[in-house]
Parts: sequence; C-alpha cells; structure tokens
Amino acid sequence: MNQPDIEWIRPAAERMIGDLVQPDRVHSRVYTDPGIFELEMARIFGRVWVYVGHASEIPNPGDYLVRRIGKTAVIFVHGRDGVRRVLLNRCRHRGAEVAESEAGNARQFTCWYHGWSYDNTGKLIGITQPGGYEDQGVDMARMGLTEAPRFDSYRGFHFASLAASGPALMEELGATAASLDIVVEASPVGEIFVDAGHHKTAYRGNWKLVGMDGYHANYVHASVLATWERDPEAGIGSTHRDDPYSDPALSRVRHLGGGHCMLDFYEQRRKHYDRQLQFLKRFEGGADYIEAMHRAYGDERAQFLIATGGDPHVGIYPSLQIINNHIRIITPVTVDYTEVTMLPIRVGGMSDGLTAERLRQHESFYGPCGAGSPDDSEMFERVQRGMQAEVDPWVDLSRGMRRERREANGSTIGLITDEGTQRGQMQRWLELMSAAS
Amino acid sequence: MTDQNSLLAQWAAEREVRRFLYREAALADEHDYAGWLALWAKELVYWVPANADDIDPGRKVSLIYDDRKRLEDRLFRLGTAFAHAQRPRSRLSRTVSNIELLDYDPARGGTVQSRFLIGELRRDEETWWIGRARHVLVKEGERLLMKEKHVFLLRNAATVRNLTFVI
Repeated sequence: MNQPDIEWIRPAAERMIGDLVQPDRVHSRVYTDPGIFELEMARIFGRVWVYVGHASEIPNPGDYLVRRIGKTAVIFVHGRDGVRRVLLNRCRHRGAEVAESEAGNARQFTCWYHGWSYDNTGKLIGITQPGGYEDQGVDMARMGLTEAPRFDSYRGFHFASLAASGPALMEELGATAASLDIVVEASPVGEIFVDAGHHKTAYRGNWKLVGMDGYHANYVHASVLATWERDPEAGIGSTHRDDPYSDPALSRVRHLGGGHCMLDFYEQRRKHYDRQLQFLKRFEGGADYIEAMHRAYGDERAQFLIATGGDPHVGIYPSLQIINNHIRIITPVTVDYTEVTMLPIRVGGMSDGLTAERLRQHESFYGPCGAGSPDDSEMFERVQRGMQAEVDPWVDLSRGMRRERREANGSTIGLITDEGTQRGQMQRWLELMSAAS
Repeated sequence: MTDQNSLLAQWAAEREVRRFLYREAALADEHDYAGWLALWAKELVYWVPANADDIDPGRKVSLIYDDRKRLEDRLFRLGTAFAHAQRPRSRLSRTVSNIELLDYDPARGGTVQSRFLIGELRRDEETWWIGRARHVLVKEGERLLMKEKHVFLLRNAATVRNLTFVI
C-alpha cells in the first residue's frame, strides 16, 4: 500500500477537507486517505473527550487497564490512594510501555528497559544508578507518568482528553448524558458492572464506518431476520419486534448534536411493553426485577426503562457506543484497520438467570462468532475496498434529507432508514477537522 | 503379563474416538452443517470461551455458548444465502492430533482432549486457528455422539476477527 509522506500530504489534506464533506455526500478519501487519518488523530482524538472505561472495570486499588485515545496508549488505573487516573503508558525516560499486560493489578509499574519504577498513582518512585545524573539528580516529583491533561466521569463512565483545554465533559456529552442514565437505571439499585469480559474484534476498514445506521439492518442482517421468522425471540429478537428497521416503524434516527447519534427505539419498544414483561418473566428473577424497577423509579419511568432495556442505542462521538447489552469502544489503528471492543454490561439487582440471558443475547448477535457483527464487519471491508476507487468517488448520504425535522431540543430526527445520523457525524467531523487547535 | 484383551479394548476405544474426531473435522471443514449437527446428542453444550479457558459462562461472556436451540439457529442462519461473512465461504483444512482419552469408558463414553490446527482461506487471506478441544462423548447404541464440545482457542484473549465457520 502507498505510504505517503505525511508532512507532504498534511497541508494538501487540510486544503481539501472543506471540499470532501458536502451536505448530501462525502468523498471516499475521508475514509481512505492516510494523511487525513493522521489529522483525525490530532484534531479529533487529540482534542475531544474520549471514553476510556467504566469505574467497575477497576474496582480495587492497583487495578488497571490499557486503553487507547487515538494512537496514544493510556493506563486507566485505580491508585492506592483510591483515585482513578488516566496515565500515559510510556516511561518518562526513553518511552517504553510500562504496563506489562492489557489488564491486571499492580502496585507499581516498572519500566524494565532501565529499571525506572512508578507507583500506581503514576509517581516516580525509583530510578536505577541515580548518580549518573550528577548533582542535578532527577526531579522525582516532576517525572511521574504523564497524566491525561483532562479526566472526568459521569455516572461511572470515565473519559479523558489529550487537550489541556476545551469544553467540559458535561458540555460535550450534551444530550447523551440522558442516554447514560438509561444504562445505569436499567438497574433497580442504580448500579452497573462492566465485569463480564469482552469481545475484541477488528475489521479492515476505517473507524468511521461503525456508524449508527438504521437502514442496513434488514439487508446486512437478512439471515438474522430469517432466524426470527422461526422464533421472534431468538437471540436479541425480543428487542427488535415487529420490524423496527422499516419506514412504517415507530423507531427513529436522531442526531443529538455534536456528532452524537442514536437509533431511537423507545416508542417501538413501548408498543411491545407487555410482551417484554412476559419475556422477562420467563427467567428466574424476572418478575422480581420488574417489581423492583417499579418500586425504584415509579411506574412511568420504570416502564420506559424496562421497555428500553438499558439500551439507549447511542453513539457518543467519536468512539463510544452503547448498543443492546454492551459498551462498544471503537479504536482506530490505521486508516483501514479498526479494533472494536465490546464489553457486556451486568445490571446490578438482576438475577443470575437474567444476567446469563443477557450474555446469551449478546453472544447471539455480537462478537466474532455472533450472527450480526461479522456480517457488519464484512460489509465495512467491502465498503473499504470499494471506496479505493477514485473515479466517481462520492458516497451518498442524502437519504431522508428533505423529510428530517429539527426538534425543539435541537436534535434532528428522521425515519429509521434515514441517514441523518451519518450526516450529523460528518458535520461534527468537518467542524473538528477544519479548526486548527 | 499385560492383559492383551484390555490393551486391545483400549486400542479399539482410541480408534473409535479418533475416527469420530476425524469425521467431525471433515464435516466441519466441508460446511456440512446437517451432517455435523447429526453428530450431537439431543441435549448439548457447544462452548467457545472468551478471554480465558476457565471462565464461568453464567457470569462472563463467551464467544459461543450454545444449547441445542441456539446451535440449530446458528446453523440455520449459516445455511441461508445472507450470511455475508461466509460469502464466499471459508475454505478450511483442519488437523486434529494429541488425542487423549480422559476419564473414558468404551461402553458409555467420556471426556476426550485433543489439539487442533485449522487453516482457513477466505478471499486472499490465510488464517491459522490453533487450540485445544475437549469433547464429552456419549455412546448411544453403537454410535458415539457429542454431548459437549469446548473449544479453547489459543487467541481467545486476543483480537478475533470473523469466526463464523464451524470450529
């Protein structure tokens, strides 16, 4: 593959960015150009709030995970002082990674290149043969592992930003904060746990292809629909009753602003609330769960939460999605290779029977052996190959442009097959990519 | 003197298991879903754990944790014309080896461990799938059937791409 000179291509990329995204179409180069990818790492992933993990993933002091903010590897760690932090996974001396595993529990991080060690708050606690720095010494207090410039959380969801300044987390989350509420409040005790392991998969395509697309389901997942004709509650069938992916459905696409999008299934699911109750009652502890939800949140909110099932079906720009029973982290690796990590959510206050059923639902559709995700990835790979064409290179995103409408709260809403979500994401992309920091 | 009859019985049991595993491998390689499904007992567990070999599937996510219903749905879906990640299908060639009969009674069946190496070619990409399998086999009449199959992938804690063929 071409390895263009980034320094040469960057100014060219900057010049053309404004031409690549139009209201109704996007140039393929947005998905295929390595220079644009490098610019995205700086102007999107180097700037905005990026999801790093949930508090429950590192419950004990010393627990840590390695995640990435764009290309920057970070350690999401629970320090011995009880404070969670995001530290760069690189030794301050010569830059080697200091975390030995992707996850674990560590009292300290030792860089075994030259034996420098840091405690799990990031503080530099030891250097080998310090006499080599003569009288100056090493300023231990200033040479700890670098912290992400900004770090904040909402309801256990932790985000970091590599930019020293910018809008606060809550400002950037905007309307999506309410969708995180839906996730946490699927629990009658208001507690979720991201402790059920994960699926880590990848596809040979650009990171932006994992969009929030309501139009593809009936075609990419035609094989799953065929399964649902045999048993409407097979797999995740109970969350997608009565064809939510055709225009007559009550489901909608929403752009919530800031590139944050959702497939809004609430009205569609509420229509089937009684069947959802029956479904839950089939499992041990199901009836107790329904009752506990009503007690905790009152009838109206409980009905909303049970119908939604802890699934806001939201994409929080740029790299976090919460879909069905899992948190999804999208990690761009190169312009045409993307890792996707899917972490099932365990809902506090749910019985073992419901917990197991939610895992089985997840496995049925998602992950590398599921009935859905591999077909999505297959499609992303076909798109990536197709988009290499430089002749007639435009990708059409015009569907529903004339019928979408703007709600009083500022979100743009369209029928479920409309491409308002993609347009919203590209609008945000253009805004971030056009502005030098 | 070693009892020649018992040695012979042990050899016959090993041969029967070996032939069964080879047959299973061939049917899976050929995408013969009906033939492969016919190797299973009525009640079954088909399990491919994720992240580690020794997880609790009630509490942790697996790559696959199928009972008969879910397995039949899986194979039905693969048999439709719309399982895109298997269009074109993976071309497969697997080797099964290091077969050990653990806790095994020739008259009733038992637990068998083996190693596998699967070569997969799809489009222009060759992928190696490596791991260990544990079968719980039961004797029904003259036939051996799978009651459980657990597949411990070498890379179950690493990135796994498209794994939609029968493993």
